[in-house]
Amino acid sequence: MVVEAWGTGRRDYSSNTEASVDPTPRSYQTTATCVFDEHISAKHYIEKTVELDFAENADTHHIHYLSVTADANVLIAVVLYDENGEMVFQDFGYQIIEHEFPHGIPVKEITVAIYNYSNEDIHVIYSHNGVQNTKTMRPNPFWMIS
Amino acid sequence: MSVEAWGTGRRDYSSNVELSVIPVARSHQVRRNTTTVWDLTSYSFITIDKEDVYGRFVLYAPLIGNKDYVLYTASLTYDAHVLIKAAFGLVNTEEWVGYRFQEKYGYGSVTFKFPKGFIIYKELHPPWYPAVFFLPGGYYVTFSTSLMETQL
Repeated sequence: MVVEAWGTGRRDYSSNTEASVDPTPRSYQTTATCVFDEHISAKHYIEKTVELDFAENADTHHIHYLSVTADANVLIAVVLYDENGEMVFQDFGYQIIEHEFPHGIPVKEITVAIYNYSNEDIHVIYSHNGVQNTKTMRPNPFWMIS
Repeated sequence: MSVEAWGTGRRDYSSNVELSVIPVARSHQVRRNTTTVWDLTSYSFITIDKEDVYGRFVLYAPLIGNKDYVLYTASLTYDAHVLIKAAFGLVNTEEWVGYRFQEKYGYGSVTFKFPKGFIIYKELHPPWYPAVFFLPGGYYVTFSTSLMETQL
């Protein structure tokens, strides 16, 4: 596209003519996601470490939303540690724990501890979502997958 | 439209004369909200263990086209207070494999939340579909989404 010069003043040599608002990220980032489920016996806890270095992506997730849910209405707790062993989040809840991090928390590796305070065995699902950087501008949609 | 010069200082040659505040998207995007009701009453599952209650349904397809979508929320509600395990993700309807983006248990309802938006790229083509799966049969399900759709 060539824009003809007109008026006075400094010429505009910018080569990029874009739609002003494109609602998808155009830079080197895409959606980040991590999901796993676990069985926890009564009065027990599990601890799981996940390295967030998925193929085609760099090694950092910026978590914006986190949820832990159980298949029974019982008291559970979640503790999230980063790659340095720093505790970045802890919460209790009955059946569901969810939290938003409006500005994101950057983690390269997470260790998640989930506690079951009830007298019954349960299944739990951990999910987090956010953004991560990528090596290409517009990644293959399947690269986002954990 | 021409704007008559007035006052002193540099002239404004900008070609774009716009209303300063319009509270809706004026560019290549539009907000969409969709709601679907699925009838799962013709399906039923034998309960042996909690995990065996769930059937796999692909219940989300209309978004595939030559457009990007950014999903913000998606909620499922049942017409009964039953335990639901629901995953939102991608499903290949030919090979029946799927990837989960967010998964939850809930009683009677599950809400998926993507506060910063979750991108569904237009490079996705059938047989891959954005989908909800792992649902118990035997009920009516209402599914609502709030998303942004890019315009061609």
